[in-house]
Formats: sequence, C-alpha cells, structure tokens
Amino acid sequence: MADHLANLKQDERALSPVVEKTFASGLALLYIGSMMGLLLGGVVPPYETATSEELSERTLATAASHVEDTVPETDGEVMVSKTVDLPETIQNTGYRLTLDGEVLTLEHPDADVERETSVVLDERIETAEGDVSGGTVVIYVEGEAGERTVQLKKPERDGT
Amino acid sequence: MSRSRDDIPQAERSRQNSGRGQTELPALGIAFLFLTVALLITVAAADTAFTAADRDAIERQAAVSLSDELVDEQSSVAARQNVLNESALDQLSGTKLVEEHGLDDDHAATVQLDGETVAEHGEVTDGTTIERIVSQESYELERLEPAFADSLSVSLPRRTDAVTLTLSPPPGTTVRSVRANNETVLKSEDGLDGSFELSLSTLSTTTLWFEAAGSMPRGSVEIEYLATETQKSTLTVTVDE
Repeated sequence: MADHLANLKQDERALSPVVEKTFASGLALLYIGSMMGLLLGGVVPPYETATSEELSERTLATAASHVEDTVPETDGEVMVSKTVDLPETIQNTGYRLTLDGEVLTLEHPDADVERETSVVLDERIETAEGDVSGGTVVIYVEGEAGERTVQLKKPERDGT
Repeated sequence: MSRSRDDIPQAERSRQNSGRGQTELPALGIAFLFLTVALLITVAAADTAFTAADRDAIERQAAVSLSDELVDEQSSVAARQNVLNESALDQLSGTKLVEEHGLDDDHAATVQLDGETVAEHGEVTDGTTIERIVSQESYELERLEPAFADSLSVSLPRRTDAVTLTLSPPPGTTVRSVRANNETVLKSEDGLDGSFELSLSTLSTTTLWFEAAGSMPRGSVEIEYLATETQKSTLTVTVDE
C-alpha cells in the first residue's frame, strides 16, 4: 500500500487527463457556441424575415380576395358580413389592416413586412374603409347598389 | 499468468499513457466534422423546403382578381359570366386593364387567349400565371332567303332572339300576316312590305309562317339574324409585380 502511494506521488502525469478533458470540453463548447452563433446570427434571421414577409403577403392576399368575394353581385339593398380568420401576429408582433378605397395595406412595425395591395371593387361600391388589428376580421358590405359601403371590423364580442 | 499493474515497468506505462491521451482530440475533430456536415445538410434541406413553399401571394392574388374581373358578367369583354365577347376582346388594351379591370398600374400584365396576346400592360419578365377555361362568343350576321315549296314556312336553323325580316313580295302578291311558331307577330290586311324587327324566344326553334295570296318566289322573304358561335378557349392572365 505504501508502495502504491509512493508510486502515485512519483507520477507527474496526474494532471494531464484533467487538462486534456478540460481542453476537449472547451473545444466542444467553443464549437457549439460558434455554431449557435453562426446559425442564430447568420442563417436564421434571413429566414425569419423571409417567412414573415411571406406570411404578411399571404395574409394580405387572403384578406384582399375575401373582401373581393364578399361584395355581392346583385343589385338592390344588401347586408353581407363575412368572418375571416387571419394570423393574430406576424413575427410575434401585432399588425393592422387598413382598407382605404381600393387600397388594402398591412401595417407592421417592421418596414420589411409592410405590404400594400389593390382590391378590385365594382362601381356599386361607394366607400370602402376599415382599420383593424390582425386575427379574426369581419367584412361588412351594406347598402343599395351604388351606395354600398365596405367596412372591416373586429367581431363583436358575445355578451358574456 | 497475468502480470499485475504494479508489475509493468514505469517507463512502459508512461509510453502507453501518452499514446492514449492524444487519440481523443482527433476523435473530437472527426465528431465535429460529422456534426458540421449534418448541420449543413439540414440547413440545405430546410432551404429547399422553404424555397418550394415560397410563392408570390400578392402577385397571384392580382392575377386571380384580374382574371375574375375579365370574365365577370359586368365586365366589358364578357357577354355573360365566363363567356367572352370576341369583338369586345379585340378592343381590350393595357390601359383598359388598368382603368376598367382593376389592374394595379405598377404591375405588368399580359392577357392571352389560346396563346395569342390580347392585351399587354408593361413588360412581363416572369410572374404568376392564372389559366381559366372560358367560352368565347362571336356573332355573325347570317342571311337566309327561303324558297318556299310545300308550305309558306321556314325554320330558322339557329335559335336567336332577334331577326330582321325583309318582305318584298312580287307585284300581285299580298303578305297578310307572319306567325312565329303559333304567335302572330306581323299582320296587315293591306299587305306587308319592307323591313321588320322581330323579337323571338330562344327557348325553342322558331318557325316562321307566312300567309300570302299569290306566289312567293325566292327573294321575296329575306331573314337576317345574328348567329352566335361559341368555342372553348383558355384565358391566360400573367401578372408580374
């Protein structure tokens, strides 16, 4: 036993496994860190932007085609409403949809995400307006042919 | 008999240890290499999937809404819903697309019918294309000069809602009345002579009956009507933002 202890004391390499493991785990951490940095800093953000741009485009295109579809083809007095489910947020941020005449705009704090499109409304429509936040949107079309109004509103909450 | 650990001479153990310590670093390097390759493959796969899902929604919506407008029954180029009027289509131009059919002035667009460009606005380089099948209606003025044999009647070969009837009976012949199917549409005791516009029903084939005293040679009755010809075509609308 004493012999053994003497052997250990003599051994000068006792620390080398510790150094080596520390070195290896350090390298691993460095690798993981740099990869994370590369992915989160360089690869992912363009995709995030592209995704939210795409989402914003699709949201706006959906909204525009629903507005166009809601307008009835008939003459006479009408009262139509259509509920459309749109994404609540884009890039975790709320947005607004603004309808002004034949222009539908998606307003978002990120300028890259903002989009604008035209909505084709026939001559039976007199005014088209609305300013709503994302999520569920109700499109109302009311009035006589030639004096019809198109409005974007939030759904009315139930009495509860 | 195996040697115990203590039996190995100090120098030999030292050599073994130094060799073993360094195998771990290359292993780590190879592991990192594999990880990196796996990561690159994943990113490339994600990129491909992303590109595949990427489409221009607004451009597509513009193309859909333009093609919808063109075939709408209110449209200036449509005779009815989904039926295009060929002569009105010839009048279509890029400016009209913007002014009447709600095309955004900033967007370039082409409208083609069976591959032939009908209207163009701006220059389309690429863009989103919407194709729809439409009927294409053209009108042709048909003329009919019946020669009466057994009876003074003529059946119109096509259904039409209006005909122009020109009666020029020879001297001595009096046309008293004209019936369309069983309905009297023209009547005069003194004799009918000249051009008359008749409105007919398109619900059934019309037979015109003439009641006349005297001979009715070929040429004494001339019938003109607009014949509608319908053919299927593909309307292609391309919009480039």
